[in-house]
Amino acid sequence: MHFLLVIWGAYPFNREPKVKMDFYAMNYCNPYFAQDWRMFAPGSSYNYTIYARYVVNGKEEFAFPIQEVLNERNIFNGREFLTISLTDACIFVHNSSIKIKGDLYKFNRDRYYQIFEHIVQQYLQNKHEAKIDDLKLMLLTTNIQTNERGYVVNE
Amino acid sequence: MNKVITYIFDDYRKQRNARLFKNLLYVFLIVKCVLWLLNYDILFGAHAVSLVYDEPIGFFEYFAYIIYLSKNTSLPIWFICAALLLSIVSLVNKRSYLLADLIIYLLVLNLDIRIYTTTTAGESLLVNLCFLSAWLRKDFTRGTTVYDQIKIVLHNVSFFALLLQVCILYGFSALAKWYDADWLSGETVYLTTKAFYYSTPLMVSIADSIHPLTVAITYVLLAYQSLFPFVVWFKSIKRYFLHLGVLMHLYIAFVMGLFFFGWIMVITYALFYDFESPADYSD
Repeated sequence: MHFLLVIWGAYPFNREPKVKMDFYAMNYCNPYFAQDWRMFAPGSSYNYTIYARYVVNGKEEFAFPIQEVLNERNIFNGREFLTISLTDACIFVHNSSIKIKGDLYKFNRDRYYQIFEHIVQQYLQNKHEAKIDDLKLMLLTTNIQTNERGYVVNE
Repeated sequence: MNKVITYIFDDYRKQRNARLFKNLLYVFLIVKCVLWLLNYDILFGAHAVSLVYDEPIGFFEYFAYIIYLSKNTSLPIWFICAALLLSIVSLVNKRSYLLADLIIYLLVLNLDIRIYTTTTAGESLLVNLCFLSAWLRKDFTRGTTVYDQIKIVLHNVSFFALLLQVCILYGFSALAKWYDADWLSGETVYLTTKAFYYSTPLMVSIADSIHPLTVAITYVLLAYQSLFPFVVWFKSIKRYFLHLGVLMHLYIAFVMGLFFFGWIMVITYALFYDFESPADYSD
């Protein structure tokens, strides 16, 4: 019974409940046996750079959080979660931005953007051990195959 | 039918695999707890990167969201310390304690939900393995009471459930890839090697020159994941197949930087491996 519901709930093309059984299976799996095995499908198509400008201790500063985290990447410090959270947030914000028409983006109460902003803010506050004010973010995307660049700014 | 009944009720199956798997899982949990403590501030503390939403959570879900819903930033430290302590005690102890294992499962589930933006498929797998392996034994003393019989049944069913869980993982992962254009065109490994967050500077720099090799590896991976749920039941080729899988997951751990995902997958292979002692072949 457990596996019937798990198999139904974790079926890779069954992410939104459509029939009653989806609803039961997803409710059974979530949160105690949650699983999603679409690993690297889709895979990575873009490289990401976050440009952050902010005020800390009354001084204006800037940072490139992803590059900083990658530079200090070390399998023994257990900080791979920072790379994962920053890049995952970039992927979600980028995917949301693709759906917005026009050159300017306005993430109005967009959950992914809120999460993205929060991760960068907390990372910077942890780095400086001080409060960050007036945070402005720009997400630079580079298509791995074509090298075409795009910019996402919440205007 | 008789064979199935005998398999389930007769004796503890795959004892060596079960003991090794449980011990490796405890070691993995101990390492994870230590690293959670070392990075406490940015994971669970005042600078926690995972944003918490003030949303109503149902009664049934509440026990998985205790840390998530709590405003107390020192609560997770108690959860981590409890998981660490229980894992150490369970590792050094020759007996298995169902209750301790189920508590570890709930603690880890709560901790992972609080840090949801930092997790990978490895964490989902860890939580599910903690639950399924709770019913597995490390001690195999046989008695004549009904409780002893129940322990045998739970052990054998749990062991089979763990195998099934890993097969579901590979099967569904392969299925999703068969519907992905990048996997079918053979470009996924190349693209991942060029993505600097899943690669190393050296691999990024040589990715173009090894492009044909990356295409071949993409198809090998697709074939590996598609065949895994079937091949692992054949003793004659299973060992070579598992060795290939270990290499793949070590690459994921050390080159792609998904250290915990790579290792938890390697740990699951302890369930499938056939050890050479004659006693194990009797299974």
